Amino acid sequence: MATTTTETKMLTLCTSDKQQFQIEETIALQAVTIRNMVEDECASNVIPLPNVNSKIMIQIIEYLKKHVDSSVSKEDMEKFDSAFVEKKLSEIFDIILAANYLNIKNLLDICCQRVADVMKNKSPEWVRRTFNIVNDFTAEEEAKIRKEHEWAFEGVDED
Amino acid sequence: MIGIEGLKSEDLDECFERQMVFGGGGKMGGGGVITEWKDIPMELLLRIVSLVDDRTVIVTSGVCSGWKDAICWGLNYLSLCWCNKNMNNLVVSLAPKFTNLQILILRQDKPQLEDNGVETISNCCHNLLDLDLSKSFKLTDRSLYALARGCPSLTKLNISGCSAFSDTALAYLSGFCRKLKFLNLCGCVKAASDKALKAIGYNCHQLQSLNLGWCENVGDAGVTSLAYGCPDLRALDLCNCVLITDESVVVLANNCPHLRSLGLYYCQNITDRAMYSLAHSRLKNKHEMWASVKSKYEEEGLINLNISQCTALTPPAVQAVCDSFPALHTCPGRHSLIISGCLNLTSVHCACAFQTHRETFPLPHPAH
Repeated sequence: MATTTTETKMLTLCTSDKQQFQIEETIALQAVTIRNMVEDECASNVIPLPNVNSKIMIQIIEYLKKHVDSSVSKEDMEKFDSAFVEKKLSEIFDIILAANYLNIKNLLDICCQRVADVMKNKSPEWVRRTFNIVNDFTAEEEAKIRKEHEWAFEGVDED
Repeated sequence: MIGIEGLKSEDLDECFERQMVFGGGGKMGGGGVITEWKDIPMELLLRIVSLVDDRTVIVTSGVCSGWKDAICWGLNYLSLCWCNKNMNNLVVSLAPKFTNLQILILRQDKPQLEDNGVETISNCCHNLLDLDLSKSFKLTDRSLYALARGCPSLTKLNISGCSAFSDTALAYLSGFCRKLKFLNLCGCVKAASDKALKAIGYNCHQLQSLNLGWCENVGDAGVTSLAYGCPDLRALDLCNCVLITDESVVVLANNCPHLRSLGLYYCQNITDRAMYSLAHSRLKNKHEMWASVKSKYEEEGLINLNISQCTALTPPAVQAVCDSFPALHTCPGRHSLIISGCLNLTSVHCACAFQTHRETFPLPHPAH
């Protein structure tokens, strides 16, 4: 019972690399997974989050802190969100997995939208390069994919 | 969107980082931790794919076999109506991959789709529920026969403008696609004959919406079969079905209590008798109802009636319909009783018009 103050109730989150983060409960409860753990009382004061590392947790807390603040206008929130997702794709990848695990729907939405925007009107080769994916198709399959891409983008200016 | 420059440096950063962490092996980390885009959980990949346009869906399905399998398994909606040249090639190539499609939109401005495209769909996408083939001028009966055999789950089919289809093929299709709820035959002059409508009435009892616009071979016999066979019919467009007479409207009024929208544009044989049958059907239904279902009564009845160019109609008959169905409006903005082109009907008004009239010229209060 060490983490309660007179004013705000605090929660301690413990990440996969055993770092502890003390944050206000109202901020943490935006994550549905944490809220369920607290409501089901299956968590003591320290909530273990084995699927999230501290580097990602710091960013997620930054996001949650902003989003709990009801004084932020809708426009400013959108600005914050679009700046927030301007990260390397590898980081977005980790945040997507974490947001999915923690069940923070709007964070998951903006990160998925960022990935969708990156892929828009690109070729499979470009997506493989950018997302660091090895082409594991057979030559025959690859020829078919090239053809489909050609048909789909005929008459469209490449970005 | 971020610029190309930004992405290139990001790309390098990312490669560098991965090499640092994984020694360039590119293998998954221990303990089942997902670290690479190729291993992204299927539901998350599908979430991303749901946010991209159809062209990009095709691209993402060609990135790696893992992504392909996920997308092919999970994709249930695809529209190719942006194609103006290669729709048929794409359909033939994609349908064998996207076998779980439920909704496929192939509307065309420039006819491209051919029978072998529809045959491929029929052979591969057996779960298809909603297929839009509108304006596929090149398709022949072969397509309908294939769909009948391959896509029995169809609930929604749009073949408007597919003028080459015959009534024999449409009747055949109705015998297999018996779950159809929405059928658009607008402009299928050859297909939408009384013979085909009889088959539809016999087979498709769940039909709710049928567009027969400009199907000028449709006659009372066909509409009668529909009215008896499809009691759940809610919307029927008979626009420019020039042969139909009052018989059609009477039989619809008596047998289709859920009818909400009826299009009779340019059905010039229609007379006041048809209008009174609509108005009376409403009254009859009201009397026969139990109190328990009376609340539902308000949610039923015509909300759309197009009688423009039905020049034989007179104001009292049309006013009777308008009074029976309070959701029918002649007032601007709501305009759900369409009477344009009927110069003698200008005196017909919905209840709103009388209310406005009263507000403008308030009746003297009896107490004064």
